[in-house]
Amino acid sequence: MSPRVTQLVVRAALAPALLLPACAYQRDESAVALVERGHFGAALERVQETATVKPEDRNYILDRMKIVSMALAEGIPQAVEPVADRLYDRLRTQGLNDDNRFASAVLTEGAVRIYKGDPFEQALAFTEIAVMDGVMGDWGNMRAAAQQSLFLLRDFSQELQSGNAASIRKNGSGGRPAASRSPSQTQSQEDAGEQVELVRAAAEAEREGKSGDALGMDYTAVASDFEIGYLLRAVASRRLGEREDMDEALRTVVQVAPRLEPVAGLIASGNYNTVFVVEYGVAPEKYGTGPDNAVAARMPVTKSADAALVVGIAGQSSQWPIATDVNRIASSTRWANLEDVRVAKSSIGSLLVAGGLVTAAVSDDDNETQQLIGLAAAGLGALLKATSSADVRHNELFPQRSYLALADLQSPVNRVEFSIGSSRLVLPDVPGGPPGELRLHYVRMPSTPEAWATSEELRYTNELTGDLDRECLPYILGGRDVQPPSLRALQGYQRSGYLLGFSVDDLRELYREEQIRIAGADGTWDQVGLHVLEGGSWLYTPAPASTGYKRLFYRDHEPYKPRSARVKELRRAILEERATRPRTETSSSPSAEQPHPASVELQRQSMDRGLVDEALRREFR
Amino acid sequence: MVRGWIRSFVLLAAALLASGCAAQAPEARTSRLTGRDIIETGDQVRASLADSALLAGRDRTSPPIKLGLAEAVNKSSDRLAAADRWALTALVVYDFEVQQLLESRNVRLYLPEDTEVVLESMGLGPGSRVDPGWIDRTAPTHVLRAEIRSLARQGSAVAGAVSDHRQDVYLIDYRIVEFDSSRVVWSRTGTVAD
Repeated sequence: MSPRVTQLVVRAALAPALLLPACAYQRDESAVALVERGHFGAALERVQETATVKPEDRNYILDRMKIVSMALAEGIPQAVEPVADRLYDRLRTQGLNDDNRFASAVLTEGAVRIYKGDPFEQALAFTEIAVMDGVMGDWGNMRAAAQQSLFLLRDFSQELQSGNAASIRKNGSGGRPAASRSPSQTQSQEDAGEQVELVRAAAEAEREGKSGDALGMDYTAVASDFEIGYLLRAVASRRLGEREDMDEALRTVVQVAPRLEPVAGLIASGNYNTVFVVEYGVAPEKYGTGPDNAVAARMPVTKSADAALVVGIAGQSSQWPIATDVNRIASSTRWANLEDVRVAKSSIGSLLVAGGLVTAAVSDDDNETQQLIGLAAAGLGALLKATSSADVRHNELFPQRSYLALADLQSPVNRVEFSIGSSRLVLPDVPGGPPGELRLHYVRMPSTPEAWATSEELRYTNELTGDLDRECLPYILGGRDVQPPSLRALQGYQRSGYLLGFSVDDLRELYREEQIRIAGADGTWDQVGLHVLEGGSWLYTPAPASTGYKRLFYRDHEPYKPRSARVKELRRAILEERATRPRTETSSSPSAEQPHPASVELQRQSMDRGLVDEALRREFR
Repeated sequence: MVRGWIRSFVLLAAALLASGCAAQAPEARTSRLTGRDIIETGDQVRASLADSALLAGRDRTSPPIKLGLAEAVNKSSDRLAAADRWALTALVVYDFEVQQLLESRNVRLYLPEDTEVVLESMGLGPGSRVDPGWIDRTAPTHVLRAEIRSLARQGSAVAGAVSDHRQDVYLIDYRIVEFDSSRVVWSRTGTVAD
């Protein structure tokens, strides 16, 4: 065979492997940076822009996990209630990757499978859905979602102890180049060693002819140690009057995490009207290590630490231990993704590429058939090697740790301060529940110090505060009010001497001309994007006990830049008129001395039409 | 000839990859309640109510019963949308035969305006399903409640295989409770097994 033909054949043989990076996973580091700074609205928009649409898409579940996570952190769970329903439904569906087609049989290793998340990611997703239900006061669904996060785990410790794990740890397990290693990566090396040991145990089981569930390895089914799942289940069960279920959940969580005994006792006592679920940091990175990067391992991004959550209310502070450290469960072999282990086991040791190329190189030039067989084997080998890399898709926006704190807040509003190590967040407007009621608030702390996080000065009036009886002008017209257009808002503007002669429809028309969408208007919260204060086209009001509320309304933003000629002209006229007013009347910035705004309950604007809707439509058509 | 083989091999590989990256055709399955389950449960419960002792001794001259609806309480191990929780009770009375029967026993439907708005928003408004004249806005005397529980079993279809099969049995307890006495005057358990 001529050199040119040989070259062509070799290229062709390796071509399939070169095509595969299209399926590779790229972390969204920009979104991670936004999350660490508490800019969940911007992160949500990024995720939504690139999210897959079809439920059968490989990354559909992953995208939904991120969307739910970011909307919850932003304080707008209403925006993703239908998304969470679909996510839950997909997570509860078995057999998503049961596909017998040839392509699937060859290629369903790694990233071509429909992503359902590692077990701990599934647990986290169920937890976030449970929290969303809790924030919306749906205790039955909260309990159910929390219950789903508490599936049994497989404990392989006996099988692993019988192997030679120590040598694996001592020798390391490959991984990223040493130059790029950090202390947290050193920790991850040990974790990767355990994963390699699991793969080795699986391979040995296969050699011994064992197969089946857990890849033929001996294991003990053990109760989950997903602490936050138990705590949420207990809170919801108590609320539903299911005392036995609550007791069981609390008994188990104390068994798996004795440090949580005081929290368990407080949940059982019922002496609280507010539950705070507080999360911090970002989840570990998943990467491939070992031969062909076939072994999936996790590397912490936010380091684990024992820092308690300190909650300050009315001059008194309380400390709450970490409920769940995601770094810990992500690296635990109990939480191992057996699909990752299976893929690594089946690919490590494969010498098909070398064997194939050797066959082609040493064969008789005249024996084209032998060459072709060898090169085809090489091509298939390259294909298998490329597809046998670990599936490293993961939700990089999940939190690193969770806390649960309880409080008995006064009505109507409270100043609550949260601290985790050097990270602080002050929420001045946390509503206290009426007697006998229970509220659950979700707070995702920024990981980096942010001035707005500790600011106590409300900079923008909004749907929850109303106009606070001060001079009030819409942000889009040069003011500091971001209420959605309504009669109440218009009356506030007119009391301040603006928009006289306007009707509510006229006010709405201004927003329409600016192409600003109002979340919740017409009952829809679909695809809520970046807030107008941050340069986006949406107007929404996050829950008052959320990081999103604090970031949006307690810091200064760039002045609004009108898009329509009408708003430009109106704004110019108003600003000219304002300039002629006495200075004391022109300040529209609410000051720190203002009383706390009265709590206004966010209405649940969008209703999920549910499973039965479509069936009913057919029934009554 | 060699080039032809190469071209064929590349095309085959590309086709395999394209199909691998694209959507698959999974045989997905779930053991969650479906809309059909909810509708069928309503059918079961209606039949039981029609034959109940609560209605047996009554006629148009009996003391009036104004029957309110409550959203079902989900105590199962699965989430259930608010619309489906309401459907579990509303569908019991959204049937003209049941309405005629209940009217003949001097039982009317209590449906306050705010509840009606909520039901409408979920596609469950009485609309054409209920005779408007049968609806009463004054204080109810009784309420129809429902509570959902479930039993889940998980395992593998084949011994030793990965355990990703699950079965759920849903038990839906219906009760009509008299407000003044808190007495349960009728009850029925509907069962849904997948």
